[in-house]
Amino acid sequence: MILIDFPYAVVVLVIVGTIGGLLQTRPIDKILMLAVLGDGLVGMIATYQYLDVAMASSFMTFVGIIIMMIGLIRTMEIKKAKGELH
Amino acid sequence: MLSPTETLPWITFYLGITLLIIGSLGVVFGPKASKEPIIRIINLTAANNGIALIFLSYNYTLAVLTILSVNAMFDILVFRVIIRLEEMEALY
Repeated sequence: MILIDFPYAVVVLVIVGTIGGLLQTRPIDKILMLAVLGDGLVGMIATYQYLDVAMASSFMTFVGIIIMMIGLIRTMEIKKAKGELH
Repeated sequence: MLSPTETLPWITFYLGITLLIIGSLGVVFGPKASKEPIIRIINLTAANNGIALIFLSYNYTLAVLTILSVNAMFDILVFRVIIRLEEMEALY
C-alpha cells in the first residue's frame, strides 16, 4: 500500500531545499542545501520518466556545485590573505 | 495515483512558480546578501531551478538541459569576476 505518491515527496524535498538554502548564512551550508534542491529537480524529472534527461541534469547540477565550491575556496583564500577572515 | 497528463504538470508548474518567487525574494532580501556577493549568486540557483521546473511542466526537456548547463557557465563567469574584484579590492 502506497501512502504517499512520489511527486509529493519530491515537492517536500524541493521546498525544504529552497527554504533551507535561502535562510542559511554560511556559504558551505547554502551550497549543500541547494544540492538537496537539485536532487528534488532530478526526482521530478524522473517522475516524468525522462530518465536520460535525469542522468544529464544530475551531472549538470554536480558540475555547478563543483564550480561554486572552487570559487568559494578561492574567495576565502583571498579574504584570509587580506586578513578580513577572523 | 496522479494522472501524468493533468495533475503532475499542474504540481510542477506551481512548484516552479513558488521557487521563482521565493528565490527572487531571496536574491534581493536574503540574509547577508548585501555583504557578500557569493551568497547572492548562490541564491540565484533556486530561481534557476524554478525556471527549469516550469520548462519541465511543458515537457520541453531540451530547454531544461540548456538552462541547467547555461547556469553552470554563468557560475564560471560570475565567480571569475568576483575573484578578480576581490583581488583588486574594488568590490565595495
